[in-house]
Amino acid sequence: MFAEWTLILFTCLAQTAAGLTLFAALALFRGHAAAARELWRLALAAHILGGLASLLHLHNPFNALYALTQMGHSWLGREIGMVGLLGLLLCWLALKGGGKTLALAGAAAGLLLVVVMAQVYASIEAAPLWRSAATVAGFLGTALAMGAAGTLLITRAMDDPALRHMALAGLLAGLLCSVGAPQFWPMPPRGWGEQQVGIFRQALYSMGTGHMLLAVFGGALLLSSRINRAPLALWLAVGCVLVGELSGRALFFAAHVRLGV
Amino acid sequence: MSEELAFFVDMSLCMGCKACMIACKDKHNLPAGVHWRKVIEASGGQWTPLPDGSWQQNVFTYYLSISCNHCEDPACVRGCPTGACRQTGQQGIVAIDQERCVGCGYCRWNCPYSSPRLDPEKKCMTKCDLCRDYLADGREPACVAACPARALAVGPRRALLEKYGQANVAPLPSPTLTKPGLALAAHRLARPSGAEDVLFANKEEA
Repeated sequence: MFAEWTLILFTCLAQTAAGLTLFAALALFRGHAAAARELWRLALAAHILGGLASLLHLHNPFNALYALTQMGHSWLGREIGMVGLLGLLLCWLALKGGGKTLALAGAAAGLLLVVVMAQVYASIEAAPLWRSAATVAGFLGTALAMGAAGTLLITRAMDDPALRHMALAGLLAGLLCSVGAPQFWPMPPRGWGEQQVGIFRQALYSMGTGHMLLAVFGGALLLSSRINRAPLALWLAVGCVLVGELSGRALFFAAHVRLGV
Repeated sequence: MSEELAFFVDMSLCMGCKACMIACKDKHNLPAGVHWRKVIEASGGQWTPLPDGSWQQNVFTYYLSISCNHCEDPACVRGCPTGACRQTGQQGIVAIDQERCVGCGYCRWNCPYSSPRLDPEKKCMTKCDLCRDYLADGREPACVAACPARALAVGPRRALLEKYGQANVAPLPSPTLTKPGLALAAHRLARPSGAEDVLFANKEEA
């Protein structure tokens, strides 16, 4: 699973960027233009880091532009296109700011990217554990959880209880989806040998438990009404949520046990 | 041959010698760790004690040489993000354009037969192309020519699949996934695809 560390980083960071873009639009609609701008900058940073990680996954990245010609039939081609589109929108929003229309466009592009990204994996017929709505739910969960955690960090000094409540709701929903998704994977399909099932269960228990514990700890800290008065605890909480999501994504890639030969 | 082609494997003749693998590696100058053809060893069965102190067994092993099956509905082509993986020509050969490939490996993930392989020296995915240069010269693919048991052949897809049906032998996946261009004369002990009592015994080697 750690052979795919570049994809673990790319998917988590790109989904973080999508989540932050969504909450940035919320912040803008609630009249917090400065906070929205900060969230877009953080989203852009996450998007760039994720993009760099994805380039490390490719052995010949210079041919990546050909993906724009294959968006009609390849989910991976569409993902590359959407990464580019969200990147362009975030560059504009982070550097020049934007109104409500552009903010909504960014949020929509982010959500669409997450769905397309999930389809890249859910469409692989030879990977049975990925072929379910749990993949989409898990990826959306990461986007919501990380977007909400970043929002709680950026808006810690703001006096807007409604925005805080929306972020907390997003955090809870996101963590429930991302931690809970593996429970809904299609159970080991027919034809799996004992060794394959053993590897799967080992990964599920170790990384799944780690993900859950980090999510509960980080989520509980963020839910505390006193967290905004303890910056270190706030950073720790966000860090726990991030490491938990990375652990959950590592579990996802460990579930790439294939049909066939 | 100007019609769609398929591989034919007579499993009753295949002894698992891997001459086909070596011939392919030699012809295409493949580096260590990259092989376009693999020989699967499938085994199973067990020994059962009888009340009289003797034993009964139903142990079996058979071999299956496969490469890219140049499928009718190739998952690698559907998934390729750059269009590098394409099925072209009347022979239905699925080939990878190394000038467009980014080496993402998505074709290999999609292929139920794990045919595409990353060539670390070329920094792109590579796979069997049915030795189309040999075919153009009227010659057999290297693997077919090398088989000492004459277990391998290439022939018209339609005729072969009509005669033998699509490859439906464990541990191969169901042929309904990608409709492979692979016809098999099954070993007498071969199990159907999906059979749970067949072990892919040489996974690391293949």
